[in-house]
Amino acid sequence: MFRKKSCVALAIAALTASFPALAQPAPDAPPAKTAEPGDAPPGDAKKDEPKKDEPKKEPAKDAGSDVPAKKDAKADGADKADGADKADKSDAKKDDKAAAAKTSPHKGGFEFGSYGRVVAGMDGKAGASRDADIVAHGSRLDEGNYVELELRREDEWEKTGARTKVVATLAVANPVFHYTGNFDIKMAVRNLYIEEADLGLKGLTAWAGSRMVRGDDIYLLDFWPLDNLNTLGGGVGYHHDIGTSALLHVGVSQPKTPFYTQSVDRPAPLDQFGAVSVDILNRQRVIGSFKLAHNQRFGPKDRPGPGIKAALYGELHALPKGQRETTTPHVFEDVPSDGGFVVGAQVGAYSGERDTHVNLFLRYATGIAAYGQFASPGQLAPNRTTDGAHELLVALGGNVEASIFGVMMGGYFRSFRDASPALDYEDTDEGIVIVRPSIFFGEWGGLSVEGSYQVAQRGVIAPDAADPTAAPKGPRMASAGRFGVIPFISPAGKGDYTRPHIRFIYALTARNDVARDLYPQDDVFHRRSIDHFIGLGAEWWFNSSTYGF
Amino acid sequence: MSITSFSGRSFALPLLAGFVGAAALSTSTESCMSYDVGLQGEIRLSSQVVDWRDEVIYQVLIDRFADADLGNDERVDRSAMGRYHGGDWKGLEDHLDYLQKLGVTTLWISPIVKNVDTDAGFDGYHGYWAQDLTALNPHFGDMAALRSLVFAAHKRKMKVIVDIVTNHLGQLFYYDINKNGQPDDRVAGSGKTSNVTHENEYDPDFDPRGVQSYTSLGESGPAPVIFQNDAASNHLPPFPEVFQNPRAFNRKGRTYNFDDPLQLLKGDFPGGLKDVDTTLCQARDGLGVKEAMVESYARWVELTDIDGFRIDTVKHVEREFWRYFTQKVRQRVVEKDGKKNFFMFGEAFDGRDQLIGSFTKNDLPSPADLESEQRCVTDGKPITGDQLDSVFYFPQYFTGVRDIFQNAGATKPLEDLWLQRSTTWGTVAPELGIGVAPDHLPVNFIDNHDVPRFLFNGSKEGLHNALTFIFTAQGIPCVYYGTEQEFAGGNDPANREDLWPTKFATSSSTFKHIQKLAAVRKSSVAIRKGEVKVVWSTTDVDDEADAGILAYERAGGDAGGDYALVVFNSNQKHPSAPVSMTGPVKVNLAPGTQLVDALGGSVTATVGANGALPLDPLPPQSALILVPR
Repeated sequence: MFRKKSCVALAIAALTASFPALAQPAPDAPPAKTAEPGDAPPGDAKKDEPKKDEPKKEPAKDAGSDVPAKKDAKADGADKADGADKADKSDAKKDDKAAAAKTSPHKGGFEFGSYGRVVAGMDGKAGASRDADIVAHGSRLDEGNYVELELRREDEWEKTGARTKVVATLAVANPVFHYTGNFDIKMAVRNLYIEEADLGLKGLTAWAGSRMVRGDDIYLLDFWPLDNLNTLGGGVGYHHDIGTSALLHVGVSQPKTPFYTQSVDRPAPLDQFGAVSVDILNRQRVIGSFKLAHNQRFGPKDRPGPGIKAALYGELHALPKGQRETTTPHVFEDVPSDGGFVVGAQVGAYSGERDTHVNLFLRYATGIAAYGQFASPGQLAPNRTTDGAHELLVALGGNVEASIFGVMMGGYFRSFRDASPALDYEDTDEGIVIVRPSIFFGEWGGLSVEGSYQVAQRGVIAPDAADPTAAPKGPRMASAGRFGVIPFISPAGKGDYTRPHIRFIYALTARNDVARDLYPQDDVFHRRSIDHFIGLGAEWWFNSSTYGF
Repeated sequence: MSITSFSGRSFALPLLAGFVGAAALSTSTESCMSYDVGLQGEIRLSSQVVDWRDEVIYQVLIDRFADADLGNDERVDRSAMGRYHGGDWKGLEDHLDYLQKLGVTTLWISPIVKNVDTDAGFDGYHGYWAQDLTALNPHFGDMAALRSLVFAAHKRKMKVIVDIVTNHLGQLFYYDINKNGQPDDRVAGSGKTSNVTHENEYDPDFDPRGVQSYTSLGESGPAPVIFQNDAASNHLPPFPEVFQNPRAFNRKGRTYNFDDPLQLLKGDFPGGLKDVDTTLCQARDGLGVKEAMVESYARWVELTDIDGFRIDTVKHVEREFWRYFTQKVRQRVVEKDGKKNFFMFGEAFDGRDQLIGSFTKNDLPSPADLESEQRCVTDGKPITGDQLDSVFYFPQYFTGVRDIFQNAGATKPLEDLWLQRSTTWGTVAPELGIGVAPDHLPVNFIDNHDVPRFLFNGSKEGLHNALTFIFTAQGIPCVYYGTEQEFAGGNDPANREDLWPTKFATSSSTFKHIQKLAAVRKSSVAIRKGEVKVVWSTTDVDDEADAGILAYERAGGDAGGDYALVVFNSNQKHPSAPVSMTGPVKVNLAPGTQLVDALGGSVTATVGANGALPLDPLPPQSALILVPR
């Protein structure tokens, strides 16, 4: 008798109705086209995400790949003409100066890039600060510390005209030594790959290794709505001078959960002492992705100009079948194979001036793909697969800058249903709208204010805390509103995406009773309706690789 | 067309419109995330039952019946019978076809409320370790799943009875006997080498004064009660909050002598299950235990539209409580909510017919005690003598099922037992009750989750005979899940097998036998509603011609003109017949009446002069249900 309603039609209808500029181009606006890849958000906001004091995702260092100024000129397809020129020159050198090439075969050097944010924060009672979002991708005002350190070697091979990039990115998350006094670190290798560009064909790119593969983000939410993959694998891409690109990627991942792995102890072989761990279940998720994108720029090519872009995106996820030992030793059960897919699209436009842009994302995922890449389903279908799980995501992000003003905006609606036929806690509808207007004081800094409103609904019939004996009226709507003030120093000049920043943050979060009920008894967020966040921090980014290839 | 319009401030307007749209979408998600009608919000209660004698009850241990929702398989360990195995309400709902095919009309499901999750290596999979009477056990599903089960059952004209416990809660506190602030497994002696019997602080021996503190220097007064606080195992202070007051419990320690009335009523149930002081009420005693029990359980009726309660361990609870509880629940559910024929039957694991029947009698205590009980009443509706509608017929289990159908004992004691029911049980239907006197409505069973399955000590032929017995005896038959699959587990927990390995097959001879019995019962008003009269019983158990014979008529009463004669041979060695030196069995039918076997056998019989009914000997462990042709 349970029913899981699909929100697809409703979402599209609502979006179309509420955003006529996309459904029907305004007379003075270009027709909306697709843009670039997005990312796959996790299926469960609470289970998939890192803890609140850890980075939710990789940091948003680009306002969006639609902003040419933020791209890595040496790796970005939009700037391949420049690279092609260099390749031609290399060919000429190869013919004329072969001997010289033997002693000086290439040009190259080391690069260093970084993204980071650090904040010393407290709540209204001088206690430790904490992320107060109730949705998977909320306001980043109260995010914890996180830094990426990228060491990169770049070479340009004279013999072939190809260019090589070896990228190693180390990421460090909370806590930091000066806060805890513990001399340790929580560090991960986020990138470790080699990318070859113009490999025998101008615009042809290939890479292999471990890599973050992403498209455009919504900075305010620290969120890549369309594509956000982190795999061990490889890919190829082709970027044509006209602005069209096609990207393919295949990779694997294996979260260390019982859904993927099971190890049991067995006596050591050949009558030796002790036990040996044996992998009974050892499967990994194979993910293939493709992206077809076009970036149509207008105006002169030798300087930044306006443009529109569009992208179609898809993923295929496959998980082989396996075996698992039951709770009865030496009795095994089959674990069925699993799979899923993602289809998505993005349309966007940019002015070419001061990072003004807008991106609209639409994404639909099914099966295992509806769960986050590193998530393990908590609820399965009766056939013990993720059949029936699905996620719909509609997201919008943008930025407008003019004169001494700037406005960043974002929002999304996400509807996730797990594979279990019944509604349950994992089933989630959620959304947020957020806006951050800023005023810049010359080229040295400015003042931002941020307002956001987020709602979340879980598939649980829970009694109303105010009237626990009354019949529950169905899933309740949790909501939280936030208002923040952020004065900042920006020595690199004005602009919403200009960094570094040194900034002060004050944010007030108000949550309703249902939102309080999302937290366990005695949690201060359960007890309090109002929370304050006061922080002094910094954020920077420079010279990092792009996520696309 | 100016592309720069995207960089102008005017662009903010459509963008904001998009945000508003997304927000509107988000806030309208009730249309996105909602349950089918009735699974959320208020529901209207329905009256499902016309006459409970028409029902066939099937007892389900939810954790062992079917696992349909893998999402609630928390800490499932199927390698141990004492652990959660994963069954849930959705699993039962998914197999209603199976039960309907079997002939079941009423589901009795194990307790639904939140339990102590695990304790001393055992799990609360059975449901009898309540911790929160206001919340559901997440191992079995949520409110929607329970409602869905009840509604799906009702759609098939099936009813749902929920098992409840009022005598005790789970092991939620310990007695800090040595006052060291921690629960100790052994604080003193075993009682063998000294008088000290406080073996551990979870479950110390009964002390009529209340559990006492004890140090090496001797006793030091009542032992403090300390509620545990372990969320992982759900050893948490109980709900409703009234149970967080130590006064709500008798605090006298574990019962070790069930023949001692004080221990029986005031002692903790073995296993550390804390005995609730069910005599307390707010108006008289300042602590509303009675009211909390009524409120907690009546609420589940109002939330789920269930059709009855099976009430655990009634003999460990004061009669005062049963008068209050049953009457206030009826007034709430039947009178206020309009749900008629709400059924409440109790379980007292005891062979003393007078004891178990006492919980169905309409009688009053002494005037002084009654006056005291009335002081608990605040709604103007005074306490009367009404109690339970019925009880689980344990004396018949011992005297009939065990002694006759398993052990081939004499059948005469069963007749004697039945004859005394009109004096030992209530003979008046409670006001607002189900309209049938308790002595006409015992709940008959051959086994359950507290005793070994029939086949553990009996044969399949004996099982079929016993099933025929409970389907034709006066009352309501109650079949324990797995009987139809010929499970043969021994004592708890071996008698709580998983049903799903059988793949819910319907091919066993026992499944078909129950199917046939349910059909016969459905077609015979006499078997359902007739009075019972034993026309043949015997003390013979050896080579005598009638050894093992039991024959009774079902006729009269509410049966109209319908009639059935049920004849058993429970002897396991030789054919027997209801015949003696004085002639064959005599029945209350006109001469010349022809009888046929409703079970489909070839036996026919014709009533002779004076009601004499000559019958060929019945094969060992066989039965006839003879009805007029």
